[in-house]
Amino acid sequence: MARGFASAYGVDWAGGRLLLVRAAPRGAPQSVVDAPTESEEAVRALGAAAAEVSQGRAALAVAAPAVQTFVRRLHAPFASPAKAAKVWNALLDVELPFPVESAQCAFGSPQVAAGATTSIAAAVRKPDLEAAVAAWRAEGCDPTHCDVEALALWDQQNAEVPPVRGDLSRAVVWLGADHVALVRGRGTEFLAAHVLRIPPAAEQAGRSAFESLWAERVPRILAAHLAETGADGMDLWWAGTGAEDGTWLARLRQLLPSGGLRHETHRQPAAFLARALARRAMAETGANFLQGAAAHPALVRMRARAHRRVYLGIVAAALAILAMNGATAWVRGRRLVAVQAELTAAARAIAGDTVVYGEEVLAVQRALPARDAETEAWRSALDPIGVEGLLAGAIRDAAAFGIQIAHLKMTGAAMAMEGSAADAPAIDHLGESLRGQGWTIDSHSPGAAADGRPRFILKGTLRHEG
Amino acid sequence: MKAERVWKAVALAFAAVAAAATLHVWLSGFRYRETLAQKRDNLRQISVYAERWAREEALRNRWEAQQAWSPAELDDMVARTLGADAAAISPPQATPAGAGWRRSTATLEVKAGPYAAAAGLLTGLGAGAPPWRLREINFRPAAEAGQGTMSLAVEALEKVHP
Repeated sequence: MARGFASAYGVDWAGGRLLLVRAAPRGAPQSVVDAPTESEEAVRALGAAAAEVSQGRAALAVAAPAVQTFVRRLHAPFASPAKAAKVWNALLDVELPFPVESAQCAFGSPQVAAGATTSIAAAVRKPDLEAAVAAWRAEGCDPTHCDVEALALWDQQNAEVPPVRGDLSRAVVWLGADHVALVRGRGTEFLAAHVLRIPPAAEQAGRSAFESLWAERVPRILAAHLAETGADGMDLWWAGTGAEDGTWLARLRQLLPSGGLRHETHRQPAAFLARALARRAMAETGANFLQGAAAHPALVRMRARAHRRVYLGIVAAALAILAMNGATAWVRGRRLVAVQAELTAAARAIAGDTVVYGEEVLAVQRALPARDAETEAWRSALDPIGVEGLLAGAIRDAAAFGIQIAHLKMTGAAMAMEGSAADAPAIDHLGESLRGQGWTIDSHSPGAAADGRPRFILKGTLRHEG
Repeated sequence: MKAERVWKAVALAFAAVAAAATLHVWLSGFRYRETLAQKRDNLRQISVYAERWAREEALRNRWEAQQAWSPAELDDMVARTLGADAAAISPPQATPAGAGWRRSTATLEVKAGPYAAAAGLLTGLGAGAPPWRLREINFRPAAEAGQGTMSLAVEALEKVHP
C-alpha cells in the first residue's frame, strides 16, 4: 500500500543524537542527518521530513520502544495459514504478560512446514505505544510507521550482509543508548530477540552495572543459541551508537567466551536501525503498530487513495472489457447482416422477392422446377444439335439405305417414321443407324407395299445420356 | 469510509456487469458461429443451384451485350425462302423466360413444295440471333418425289422491353 509514497524516512534517537535516513524506491537508504537532537540542522531536517509526511509524499518510521516490545514465534498445528490466523491472538495472549486485547499487535508472514504454521508476532501495550507516540510528537516527529526494532535489525542484517550459508548461525548486537538488543537467528531465519536495559545512571557507572548484566546473561544466551542450532560457532555483528565506541566494544567482547565467536562491525553502525526502518517502510515489508485507530492520517489518506486507484482500475478494466464485448457483438452482428443480405439476394435471384427469412434454401428448392421450365428455351437455344440436327440425321440415313419416307413426325424427345425399303435388311440398317444417333427404336413391319417393297413403322424415343 | 464503500460498490458493480457481459458474449459465440456457418452453408447451396443456369445466363448476357433482342420476322423469312403465301403462320404464343425475356412459339403450315426449300427455311431460321429453333416437325411427302407438306413448330427468345 506504500506505493503512494515517493520516499520513506527512518528516525532513531540515540543518546541525544538524531539519525535520519531517507530511502527511495531504488538504491540504498541514504543518511540525511546525524546531529544533536536540538541542533538547527536536525530540527530543520526533521521538519522537512514531517512536511513531506503531512503532504502524503513520504513515510516516517520509528522503532517501538524495544524494552516494551515483545517478540514471539508462534506455532499453530495447522497447515492452513488462514486457519492458523484465527488462533494467533489466543496463542500470543498466552505468551504475553498482559492481555492481548490491551496490546497493539503485528504478525509476520506465516510459514508452513511439516504440517504446522509458524509466524513471528510482536506486541506492545497500547498505553506504552500511546506514550511513545506522544513523546515522538513532542520531538516534532509524527510517525506513519512504528516498526519492531528486533525484526528491523534482523531484516537489515540479511539485506546488508546476506548469509553465505543457509544454516549460518549469527546475531546482531545493537548497542543503543538505553538498551542493548541481541537478535539471533540461523541463515535468514529469525529465532529470538533479547533486550538488556542499560541502567539510567552516569555514563561510567551505568556501563559498569550493565557490563555485569552482560557478562551474566549474554554468554548463556549464546550458549543456548549454539545448542539450539547445533552450530560450533557464530558470527556476531555489532551496530548502534555504542559500536562507534571502540573501547566499550572491546570491553563487551572481552566479556564473551573467546571460542567460536567471530566479530564484525557494520559500516555506519549508528544509522543501522534508521536504515532498516526507512528501507522497510519504503518497501512496506516491515511491521507497523500504528494501525486502526492509531493509524497516521497521511497513511489513511494514502491507503484510501490507493484503494480508490484500485477501484478506478477495476472500473476502467470493466469499461474496457465492456467495450471489447460491445465491439465483438457489433462485429458479429455486422457479419451476420452481411451474410444474410448476400443469402437473401442469392435466393431472390432464383425464387423472386417472396423469400421468407430463414427459408431461403427451401424457397430456392421450391422455385427450381419453375426456373428450370423458364430457362428451358435458353437450353434449347444453346443445344448445338437440336431437332434440326436429329431431323437431318434421320433423313440422311434414310436416303443412304434407299428408304422412302411416307410420313415423319419428330420432336426433341420422340419420332415416328413410316415408309418402305428396298428390302428388309435396309430397314434394320436404318434402325441401327438411328440407335447410333441416340434413339431407342421400336420397329415393326406391317407388310409389303403395292409395289412389293417391304413397309415399316419406326417409333423412337431419344435417350438422355448421363 | 462511506466514500470508500461507494467506490467499492461501484467497482464491484462494474466488474459484475463486465463479467456478465463477457460470459454472455462467450456463450453466445457458440450460437453465433453455428448461425454463421449455417448461413454460409445455405449460401453455398444456393450458389450451386445458381450454377445450373450459368450457361443460359452467359448466353443471355451475350445477347444483351450484342443487343440481339428479337429473332428474325417469320413472315419475311418464309416469303424469302418459300415464296409469298407458301405457308400459314400462326400468331406466336409467348411465355416468360426470365430476366425480362419471353419465349415465342409459332407454327408454320407449309403447303406442298420441295423439301430443299423447307431445309433452306430451317437453315435461315436458325442462323439469326436469337435463332428460331425447331421444336416439332411433321411432314408428309407428296406423290411427287422430293416434295410434300410440312407442319413446323418453332420457338425463339425475345426481349420483352428492349
